[in-house]
Amino acid sequence: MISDEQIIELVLKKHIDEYQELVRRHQDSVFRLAYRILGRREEAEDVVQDTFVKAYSNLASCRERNKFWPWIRRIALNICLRRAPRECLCEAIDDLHDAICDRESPIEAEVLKQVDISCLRRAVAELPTCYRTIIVLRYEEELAYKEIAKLVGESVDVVRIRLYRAKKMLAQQLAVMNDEVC
Amino acid sequence: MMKCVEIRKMLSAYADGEIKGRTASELQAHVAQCDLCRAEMKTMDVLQSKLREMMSEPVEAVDVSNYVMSQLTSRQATRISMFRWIGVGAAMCFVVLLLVCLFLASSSTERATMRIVQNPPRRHITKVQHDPPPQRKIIVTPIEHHRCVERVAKLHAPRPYYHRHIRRQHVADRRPIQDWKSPETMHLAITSSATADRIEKTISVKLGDINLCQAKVTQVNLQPNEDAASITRPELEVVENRGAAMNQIGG
Repeated sequence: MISDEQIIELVLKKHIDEYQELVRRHQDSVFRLAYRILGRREEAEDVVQDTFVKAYSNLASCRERNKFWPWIRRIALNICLRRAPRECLCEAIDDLHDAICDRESPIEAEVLKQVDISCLRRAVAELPTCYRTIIVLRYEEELAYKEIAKLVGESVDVVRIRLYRAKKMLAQQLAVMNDEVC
Repeated sequence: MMKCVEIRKMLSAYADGEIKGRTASELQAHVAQCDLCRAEMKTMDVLQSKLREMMSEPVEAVDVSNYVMSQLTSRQATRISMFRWIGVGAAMCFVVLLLVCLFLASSSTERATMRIVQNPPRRHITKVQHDPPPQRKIIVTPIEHHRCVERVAKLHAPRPYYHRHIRRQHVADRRPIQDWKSPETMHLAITSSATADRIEKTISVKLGDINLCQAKVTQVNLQPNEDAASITRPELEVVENRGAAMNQIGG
């Protein structure tokens, strides 16, 4: 099987049809990332298309051709963040939740165990974009804090704190949902 | 020793395996003693496993490869046609520019030729006009000879008297002397003779050997006991010999 690197070389030599193979290989991963961050299928499909068109235009600038997926993931993430609704600045959200998270008593683990995955999905969808992005990069993409920090342009400490707050918010949200619906 | 607040902020990272070494052991020791932090740690573990479960759920597959390829092909075609139109446009611009340049060059050459013919600078005469330069016609009237002599006489007459005693003698015949080929031959001859009480100067304008006109100035030197008003004025004679000159040049 021909590698990503070889396909890129061929595409750069004007064998444009070979690019379709690259799209087929990575479109699902890009779609999953976009869908987790944006939460809407149509919008996620648009992101996939835009990502591959943009990647084709900038293919010559892909330095590490054996790492095509990390390169295209960055493009996809940037497109997602541009499309995502901007609730407010992440710093303001950090300040808002800082005091709340510290005061709250821990949610019992037994409560969370009963929670359905669909409730968790809804709770994740209600998170601010900057928190949701980090959750997706950590648990969907299985990236280390350092890699996440590099992708979102923040420090490792900021990533660590945001993940903690995101989880606290999720726990509280799930507790409320468990009481009401689930 | 870390406080509960600090420990709790690190529990999420600990659950993710991002806290290691001494901090991790401190955290473990604290959690073993603190019920609230232990409960929080359990919550984080459950949440983490739930999140992993959620993320592992399959997402419906998508195929946008055909759409992407069609978009790329159409963009390529658009780009090629754009380049083609740019090429055509550039060629047209070049042709128009060339025509304008040719027009301007031809009109400026025409103007330059006209200018050279009307008022040809010396540098271009040999290039543009090969005919010999027209013969210059020198027109000298007799009155000019006379004025020339007058001027010379004034210069040579003594200052207190000359302005009173030079008389103009107008010549009736003012026909121009034409085709005077050698104006350089006209020259000035001044002869002077001095005695104890007077100086006589004869100023002649000559064409070769012929006297064209002549002025004579006599200066009387004042004696110490003489009054300037009592002595005879200096004399100025202007003699014309134009007829001989006319005979020589055929006028």
